[in-house]
Order: sequence, then structure tokens, then C-alpha cells
Amino acid sequence: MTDFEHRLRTAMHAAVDAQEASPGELIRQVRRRHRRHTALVVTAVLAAILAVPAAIAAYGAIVRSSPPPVTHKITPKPGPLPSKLSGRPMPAGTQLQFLDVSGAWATAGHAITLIAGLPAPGMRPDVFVRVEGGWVASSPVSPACQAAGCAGPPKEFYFFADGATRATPVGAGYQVAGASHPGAVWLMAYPRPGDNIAGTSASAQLISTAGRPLSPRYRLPAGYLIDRGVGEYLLLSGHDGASVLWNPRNGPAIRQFADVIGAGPSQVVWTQGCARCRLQILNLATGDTVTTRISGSQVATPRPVLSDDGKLMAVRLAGGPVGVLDTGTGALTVIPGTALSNAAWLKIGWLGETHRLVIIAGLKANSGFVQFGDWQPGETRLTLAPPSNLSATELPNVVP
Amino acid sequence: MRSREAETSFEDFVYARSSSLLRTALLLTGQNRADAEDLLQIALERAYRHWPRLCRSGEPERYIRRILANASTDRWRRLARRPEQAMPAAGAEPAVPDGTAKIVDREYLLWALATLPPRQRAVLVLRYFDDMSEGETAQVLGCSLGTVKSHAARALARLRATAVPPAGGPAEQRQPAAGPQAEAEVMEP
Repeated sequence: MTDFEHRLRTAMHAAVDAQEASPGELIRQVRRRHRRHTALVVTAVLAAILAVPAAIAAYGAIVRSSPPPVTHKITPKPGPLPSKLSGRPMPAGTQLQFLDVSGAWATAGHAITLIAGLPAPGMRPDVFVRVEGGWVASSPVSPACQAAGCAGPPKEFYFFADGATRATPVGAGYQVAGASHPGAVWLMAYPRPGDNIAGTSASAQLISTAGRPLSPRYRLPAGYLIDRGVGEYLLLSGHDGASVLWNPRNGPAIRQFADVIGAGPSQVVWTQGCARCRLQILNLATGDTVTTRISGSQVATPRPVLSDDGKLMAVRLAGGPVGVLDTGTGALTVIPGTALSNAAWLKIGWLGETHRLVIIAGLKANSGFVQFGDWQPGETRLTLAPPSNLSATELPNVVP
Repeated sequence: MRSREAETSFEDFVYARSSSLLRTALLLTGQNRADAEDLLQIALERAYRHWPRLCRSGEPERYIRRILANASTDRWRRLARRPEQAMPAAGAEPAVPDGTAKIVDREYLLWALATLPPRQRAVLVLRYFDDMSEGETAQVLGCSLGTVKSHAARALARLRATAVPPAGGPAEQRQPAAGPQAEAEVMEP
């Protein structure tokens, strides 16, 4: 910048930097203008309609000739639901590999491969966080702090890629969240172990899965933590249940969501919080919002799971089967043979970075009996591995 | 029906960014507070109509700055078609009675800025006040990078030539013959 340009810049700032807007008044004025604009538009439209009666007649004729709207309803099947998945047998040699809660890869055929470099055994499912291309694991939160709502001492986090047999340290902090691109995670930390997580601002930094800092350290709004990176933004979850889309670099929350169902690298799936509100899918890469035909009340446990690329979302429908939602179009594909009675538990997940959905089901009363099902877009039925007699522990997630 | 979320999001945005936008509007309107507030209301009302879509685009502020710059140009064009209002003649005393040389220099720079054609002024305000790069300025104004560069070069040259305090004091120069309104300029795409 030349000296003259610098003088110009200084002069402009000196002239207006002390000026402040009156946001409240501004909002009132904007709404007043908007009402005036809307009234003008409505008046113009009414005038046009009144001036051209023929247009009304033509419109009426078009409406009468159009077919009645087609409504799609997802209705649960009448009668008792089965307690087992149904489908065709899995081709011989198909190997599905899962992440076991003990920190090992397990297959439907009982083989176990331990992952080296992870902290002490005895892990619980909640210590695994899915990030694109792999998982991040940590030791659990200290029980004392979990009850008291404090941050506790920093935990070490470890990354292992899908199928890898060795984990590498990522860093220490309170929690990690997936980034919007592979090879990185958001690492969050509180200043002191005794900090109350509901009222303290955590810091967040983008870290490579090899532990290298990739961004400055940002201060999150107090009481919020990162759910995951979505596009250029961070989806934050508050302790009061609120979710906001937040720009870590410069700004306030750009959008609030009533009830977030799931999120992908550029997608946020949400509803407006009411039971009959339809699921909305916001795609930050395209700016489009798709309204699906599933309402929030039709989403059952377990929570819906998005594929690593965010293009597909597997969802268990209340009282019905598992469906796969195309997040780009909102189209729902229902997978036959996946509607189970309450006597069975069910887990769903995507096989690593693929579009291959794995469904695990078992009987609550007889937890040794576990079924593994596999489905891909384009297939009309589930393929099933021979029933396994695994341990009673529920499997947390599925990865190749 | 506008959703409650959109309303809240819009209010949050106005509370967070309205002062910054007002300052830009002030510089675009030659520091006329009433005109700047009017310009800002126009820009925000247009943004309000499409707020959910703007939020999804992730860059509502850029869109509003673009409306500000365009609305400012339109405003100058409208004024140019009307009979010009003479600026009040200054008295014998300078406008900055006790000003130091530095203040006088600033005063002249700002006056010279206000006499620039609106698009040239918008380029300088976005570049040197809002600290945008040439590329960002081009995006906001909806023109090419080359156009931004040429406007900036011409505007700076003109400022250098005109923003020199005359011996007779600023008051003499505060009543330009044609005023800024006469130079409304159409920016090439």
C-alpha cells in the first residue's frame, strides 16, 4: 500500500469509525419497507387478475384438468413384526469387518485383530468418533467430571484409518469432531479441568490426523461444542440442545436449527422441531434445501447415519423398516426385510467410505444371536451373513 | 410465511453487522447519515426478501454490500436527472476552524472521494475501507478484475490531483462547480 493509499484509508476510518447503527430501529424500518413492498406486489397481482378475467377462467380450466395430487404415506405394516432380518444369503467369501468396542477389528466370522497404539482396554462405544476415512478414539471422560459437568483433565486422542492395525496420536483435549474434509479433525479443549462445560468457551483447532495444527485456535461460543465441520462452517451444538452454523473465522451464527438429525461434510439434516415437520436437507455446497417426505416423528432409534461423503443417509423408520435417503434429491429407498419387532435391537452404519450399508440385528432376549446384513444402492434385497453367536455386547459401529 | 428461524437469523445478522455496513454506506453517500441509513434500509430490505436463500449461500454480507454499491450508483443517477441542489455556501471561516494540517488533509481527501463517480468511489471504499482484495471487490460489484484495477487507478490519480488543500482554505473548494452528481458513470461489465 502506498503512502497515499494509506492516507486515504486512515481518512475514511477517521471519518466514520465512530458511527454506530441502531439495529433495533433498522430492523423495524426494514420490516416496514418489506410490508409496503409486499402490499405493492399483492396489489399488482390482484389488479392483473381482475383485469384479465379470461386468465382466471383459463387457470380454472387448467386446475380442473390436472390430476389429483399423489400423496405418499409411510404406513407401518399391520400385524406383528418379525424378530429377524430377512434377505438372500451373502455370497461365499464376502467379508464384513467391524469395529469392536474393545478397540479391535472383528468380522462376522469371529476373527479379531487388535489395533495397536490405543489407550487401555475397556473402551465404551462413545469414545469412538467417526471421521472421514477412519476413527478417532480416546479414553472416557473422568466419571467425577461427567457427573459434575466439568471438563476434566485433557484426554489423549488417537486416529486409526479404516482397516489399519495401528493408531497414531492426534493430540490432547476435551473432545474431537469430524472436519469437512478428510485427513483432519477438530480438536476442542477447555482452559482448565474444572471449567463448567455449560458456561465456558472451549477452544477449537483443526488438526491433521497425524497431529499437525492446520488452523489457528478459535474460541467457540460459551456452552457450545462442534458437532462437525460442514463446508466452510462449523455445526455447533449447545448444551441447551440448540444447533447453529457458525463461521469460525469472522462471524456470528449464520443459521440456527431447531432439531438436527444428522450432518455430513456439506449437509445438515434437520427438522423444525415439531412432530409432523418434514426432514429438511440443507446442502451448503449447492445452497439447495430439499424437503423429504419423512417427518421428524418417523425417525426411530438408532440415530440416522450419513455416509462419509454425506450423499446417503440411513434411517430407521418408526414402526417400520430401514430406509436410505438420497440427500441430494430427498428420494427414499426402503430396504425390504428390515422391519423388526421391538424384541430385536438393530444397528446401522456405512462400511468405511463406501455406499455399502451394514445392518446388525440381534434379539434382546437372546443376545448371543446376531445377524449381519449388507445392502447397496440398486439392490432390491438385503444379503445376510450366516447368523453369528457373538458376545452379548452390542457392537458400536461398522467399518471395513 | 417467513420462518421464525429466518427472522432470528436476520435479526442476529443486523445486530452483528449493521454498524459496519452503515459505515460503508456513509462513505458511499458522501457521509450523509440520512442517505446512508436509507441506502442501508434498501439493501437490507432486499436481502430480507430472500434471507433463507442468502443464508444458504453463506455470504449474505457480500450480497448486501453489492446491493449497497449498486443502490448507491442508482441513487447518484437519479440525482443527476434532477435539478441539482446547491451545497450550502461556507462562511468566511474554514469548515474546520481549528484544524491541523492533518485534519485538513483528511477533509480534502474525503471531499475528493465524494466527488468521484459512484463506481470509482465504491471501488475505493471496498478496497481501502472494507479491506477487500481486487478479486473480492470485483465479485461484489459484479465486474471484471481489470475493471476494478482501472477504476482504482483512475480514482486514485484523480484523488491525488484534486485532494490538495488550496491556499484559500477548504471552504472555497467545498462548492464544486458540477458536484458529484454530474459524473454518474456506468461501469463496464
